[in-house]
Amino acid sequence: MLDRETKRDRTLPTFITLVVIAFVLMTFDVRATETDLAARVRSGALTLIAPLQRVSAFVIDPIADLLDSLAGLATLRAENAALRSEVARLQADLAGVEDDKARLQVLEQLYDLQLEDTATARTPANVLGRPDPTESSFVIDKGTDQGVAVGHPVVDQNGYVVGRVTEVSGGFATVVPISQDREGVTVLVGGQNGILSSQLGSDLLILEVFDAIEPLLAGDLVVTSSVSIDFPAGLAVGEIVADSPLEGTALSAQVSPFADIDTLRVVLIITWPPEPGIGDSPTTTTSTTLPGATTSTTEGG
Amino acid sequence: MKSVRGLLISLGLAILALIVQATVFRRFQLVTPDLVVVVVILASLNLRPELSLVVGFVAGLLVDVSVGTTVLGLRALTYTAVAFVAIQTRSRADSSPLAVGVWAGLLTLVSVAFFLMVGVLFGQSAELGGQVLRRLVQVPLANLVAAGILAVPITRLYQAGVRRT
Repeated sequence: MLDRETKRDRTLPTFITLVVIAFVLMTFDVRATETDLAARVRSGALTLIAPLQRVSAFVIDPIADLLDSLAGLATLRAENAALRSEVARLQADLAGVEDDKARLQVLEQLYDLQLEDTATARTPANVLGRPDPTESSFVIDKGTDQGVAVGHPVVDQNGYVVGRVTEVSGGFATVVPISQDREGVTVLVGGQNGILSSQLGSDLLILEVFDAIEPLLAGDLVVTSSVSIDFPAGLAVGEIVADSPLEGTALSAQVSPFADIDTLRVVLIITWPPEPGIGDSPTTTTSTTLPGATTSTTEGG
Repeated sequence: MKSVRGLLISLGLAILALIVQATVFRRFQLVTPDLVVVVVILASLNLRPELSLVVGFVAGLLVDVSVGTTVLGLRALTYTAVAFVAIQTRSRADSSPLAVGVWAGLLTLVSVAFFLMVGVLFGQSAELGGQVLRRLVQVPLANLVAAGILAVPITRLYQAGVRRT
C-alpha cells in the first residue's frame, strides 16, 4: 500500500518535469536557426525513420494502387470522354500558342533580345509518406547525396508549385507545401507582383498586392515572379478564386493552388538558385528509379 | 525489469504507429487516426503512471522530429498532457473495448484542442492551417474506432511481455 502511494506521488513531479523540458525545447527551437542543433536532430531522425517509411511504402503502395484502380473502374469511361474533349480543346489552344510563339520570335529578333538562360537541374523524387497524416508536409527519397538542399523549390509532375524543402539528410528530405509555409512567395498575376501566403484554417492561399493598378478576376493565373528569391520565375502556382476589386492601391484575393498535395506520388526538386555551370553545360541529366520505371530528366543545352 | 519491458513495448508500438500512419493513412485520406496518441493512451492502461508520461513525452518527440514543420516539443508536451489526463481518468475505461474506444476518442479530442491552442501560442498558425476541422472531427472519431480495435491486442501484448520476464 505504501509502495503504491509512493508511486502515485511521483506522477505529478514527473509530469511537471516533462512539461518544463517540453517548454524549454519549444523555446529553444523557436529561437534556433536552420544550422542549429535542433535542425541537426531533425535531420538525424529523418535519416533513421525515412528508410523504414520507404520499405513500408514499397509494400503498401502497390496494394493501395490496386484498390484505387478497382474503385476507379466505374468512373473511367466518363473520365475518358472528358479527357478526349480536353485534348481537343488543348490542341486548339496549342495552335494559338504556336502562333504566339512565332510572333514572339519575330519580336525578339526585332528588338535583339537575349533572354537569360535559367536552365536548372531537376531531381525527381518519390513521396515516401507523411509522419502526421493530418499535416501536409511529406518525406521524399532524395537528399543531400543527390544535391538537394534546404530551400530548394518543389513542383509536381505538371510543373505546379508544391512547396519547398525544409529539412534534408543524406538520402531524404522533408517538403513543406506552400499552403503550410510560414514564408510567403512573390508571385505575378495580371502583370502585378504580390505576396502569396498561407492562411489559418483554409487550404486556400491569400494574395496581397500593395501597388495594384487593376482588379483581379476569378480564374486569373498566378505564377512565380521574376522578383522571387526562392522560386524560378514562371512556375504556375494557382488561380484566383473570386473577383477582387481594388481597395485604394491595394487588393487581396484568395488563390486556389493547382498542386494536389493529397495525391502526390512523385515530385521534382529544382536546384534553385542555379548552381554555377548548370546553365552553361550542354546537358544536365539526373536519373532516379521510380516505382516500376527508371526516369531521367534532361535539362540545358 | 517488467517496467523496462513495458517501456520498450510502448516505444516499439509508437514507432510502428508512426510508420503506419505515415504510409498507410497517407493513401486513405478519409481515415486519419493519430495512432501514436492511441498508443500513448493505451500505454496508460498498462504501465505505471510515471512511465506512461515518459512514453507520451518520447512518442511526441519522435513525431516532432519526424514531421519537421512544427516547433520541436509541441507534440511532446501535448502527448505528455494527454498521458497525464489518461492516468487521472483511466478508471473510467473498463475492460470493454467500446468504453476504451469512447474514452480514447474523448482524450484525442482533448489532445487535438490542446495541440492547436499551444501551437497557435507558439506562432504555429500557418503550419496548423487548413486542417483544423479535420483534426477536431475526423481524428478523434478515427481514434475512437482504432482504440476500440487495438485495446485488446495491445493489452495482451503487454501482458505477454510481462509474463516473459
